[in-house]
Amino acid sequence: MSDDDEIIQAFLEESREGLDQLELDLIELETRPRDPELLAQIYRSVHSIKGTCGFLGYQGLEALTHRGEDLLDALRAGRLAFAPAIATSLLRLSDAIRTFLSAIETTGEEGADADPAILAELAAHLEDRPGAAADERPTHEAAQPSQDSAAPDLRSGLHETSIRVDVDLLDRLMDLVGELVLVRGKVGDLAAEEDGGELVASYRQLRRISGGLLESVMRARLQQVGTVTRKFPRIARDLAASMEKLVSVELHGEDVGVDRAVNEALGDALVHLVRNMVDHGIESPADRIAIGKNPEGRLRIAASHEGGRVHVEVSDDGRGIDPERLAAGAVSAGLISHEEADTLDGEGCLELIFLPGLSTKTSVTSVSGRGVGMDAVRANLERVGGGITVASDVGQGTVFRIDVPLTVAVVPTVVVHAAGGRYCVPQGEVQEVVHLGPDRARKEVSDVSGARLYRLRGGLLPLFDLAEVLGLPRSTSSEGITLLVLDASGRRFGIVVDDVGATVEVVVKPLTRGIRSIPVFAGVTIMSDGRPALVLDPDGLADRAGLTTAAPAASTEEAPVVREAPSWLVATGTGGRQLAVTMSSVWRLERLRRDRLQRVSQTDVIHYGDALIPLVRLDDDLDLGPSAPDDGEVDVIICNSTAGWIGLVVESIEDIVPGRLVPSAVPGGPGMARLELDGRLAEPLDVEALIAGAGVVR
Amino acid sequence: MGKQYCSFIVGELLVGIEVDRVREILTDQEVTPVPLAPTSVHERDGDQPAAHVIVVTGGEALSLVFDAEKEVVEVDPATARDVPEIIPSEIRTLLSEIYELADSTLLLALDPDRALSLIAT
Repeated sequence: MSDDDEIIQAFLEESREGLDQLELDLIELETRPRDPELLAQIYRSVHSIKGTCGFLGYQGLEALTHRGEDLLDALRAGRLAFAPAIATSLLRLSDAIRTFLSAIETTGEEGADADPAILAELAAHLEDRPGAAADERPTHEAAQPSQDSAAPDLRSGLHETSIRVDVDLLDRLMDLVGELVLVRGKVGDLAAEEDGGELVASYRQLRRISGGLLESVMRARLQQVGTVTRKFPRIARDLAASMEKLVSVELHGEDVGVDRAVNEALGDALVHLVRNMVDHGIESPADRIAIGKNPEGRLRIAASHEGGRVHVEVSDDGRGIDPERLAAGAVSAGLISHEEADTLDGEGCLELIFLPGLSTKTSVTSVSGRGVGMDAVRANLERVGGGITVASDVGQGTVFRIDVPLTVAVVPTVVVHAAGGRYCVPQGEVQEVVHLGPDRARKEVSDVSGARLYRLRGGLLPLFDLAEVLGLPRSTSSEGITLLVLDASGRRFGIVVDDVGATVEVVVKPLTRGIRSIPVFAGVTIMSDGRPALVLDPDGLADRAGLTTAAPAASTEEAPVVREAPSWLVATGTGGRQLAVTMSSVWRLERLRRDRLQRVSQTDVIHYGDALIPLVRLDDDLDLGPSAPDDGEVDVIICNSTAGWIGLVVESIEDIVPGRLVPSAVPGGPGMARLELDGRLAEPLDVEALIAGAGVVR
Repeated sequence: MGKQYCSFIVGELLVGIEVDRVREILTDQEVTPVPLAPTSVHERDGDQPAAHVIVVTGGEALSLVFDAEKEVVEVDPATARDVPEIIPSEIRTLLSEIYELADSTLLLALDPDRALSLIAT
């Protein structure tokens, strides 16, 4: 590339960025028409393009920008009052400049002169002003704000602190660093075999340097979300104008940094969302006035950082999405059955918007409404490891919440083996690794009707066999149990594996279509031996494992996920009634021989360590009476709370169900509630009240 | 000008994929099973030799596994025939057309883009 070419390339890039900012400012100007700083900024944008093209000898473009500058100058000096039509003309000017830039980029020449229509349009605004006289206008030099007197960047190369890098080169760098991390893992394996020695020392050095390199490359790839979001005020404005609507866009968190590949995916998603919102969400000004809303619809795009992820909320204050209409649309499009639709709640209905082939809009507009889009939006976000959810209030508006990773991920993972396969578990979600010998396994793991519970420091941790969750044959080992304690968004559980390997750093790549939708996998990675390994998603595992205790879902669609829902221990009381105790108050499950129970006054108690724990039998009257004095063993749920301890004598322990208890309208059954996940009826017990009732003071 | 197909054996069938669509043919590949993945048309015994035909469809690479690789054949597009309805639909949906070769064997022309429908949900 010759020097000239480089200068032209820099000019093109800078000009385009300048135009992006210009458009944004122009739209801002409509709300703050008299803001002198804003006007100065707009003026500078145009002036800087004009200055450079004079320098490069693009006369046509110079004449065009000059005309724009005249108009802005008049605005700035207050000789011309701002009108929306002026903003429109200036946006057209921006388009005309872009046309020039494209021509310069492809042919190296300016091509045709500027469209006389736009020149005339710009001039017309100036002629409109009453009492206009050419000599009123100060010279350009005098009019320029002081910051503007600096020469454009490309003439001051001496002091630059940043350079432009081709994005393909950045992508290549990322790939290379990813491979380097893999090789580093391989060297690490070799070093591990050698105890001490020079290789180990060199490996440590390699680790440190490559770690620094990785981080730097990641940072080099970070781009401001604003580079994408700043386009939307213009897009929304033009779109709204074509539909005779009024829409403004509010931006927040434009400076949030995100990997450029992720940012790109984000931009694609936002285009769809903003179009849909302007087209379907925002009502016409007349309709809005009729229902007491501001005639101008508002869109809000807000980005924020949180723990290595970027959240982007896109909301409107339009008509919202009617879940029932959506469900009806899905049924009539043959996407779901009537029965399925009936089982969906409002949230479930809204999820339907992400099904391929769904549109609620009866008429198809040129902008959107062909029923393609939202499924693609979700798929594209998932491709970069992100996701999207929707919430809506009919009449109030809709909000889409996008969540994407900050960078293309290199994550530390724990390697586990199960059913002959090798899997990686993200280390961030692994709380501990436990191996139980056969003796401890027998003592500390209880089998409750097929559900296994591990007594971990006073708590009861549900255990799942990884092989089983993955639908593979469960290995039967008498060598005890190896398990990982996982925390998936607050849901703690253990997965039983055959073996736990080393901790390795891996580059997680998305799975290909078809297998991407399997929720238990977050992606795939290439291990240091060159073979792939699947990366598990603890959230997906929890969902899937939780499902096995509920009725199997009819479809393979995502099961309704109840986040932060407490788990309930369901038991059959001595009178046959179904009881539920929240797992957080369950300390232990014991099967006790009757002769261990002692009667103190009217209450049965057991010695438990140093404490005496009162027992209650939960019969039909919820009588806190003593348990029946027959022989054999009893199942006791030992609960504790801040109020003290209590043992609940039950007929049998049934299940542990993750889910929320929702009140059910059973007349005469004040305590009756429904376990949400499997629809079973169970009665939630208030452990604190029981303890208080048993007269225990501790 | 004839159309060129890479031909492969799967079961008893001779299947062709347009030469331009084939990116790579690999043999002796170790396969990592993906639990819970939808099963494809044929369950394969992992130990059997296989030809992995890498095609790109929908922007992603996909490996189609065949029993064995055969020669490149050239056919006259004018002799293409529609896929008869009698062929089981799970196979028929993957095929674009059928050719009768000189030795009267049938070449089933497979459309790689439709192969994705096997696993896409």
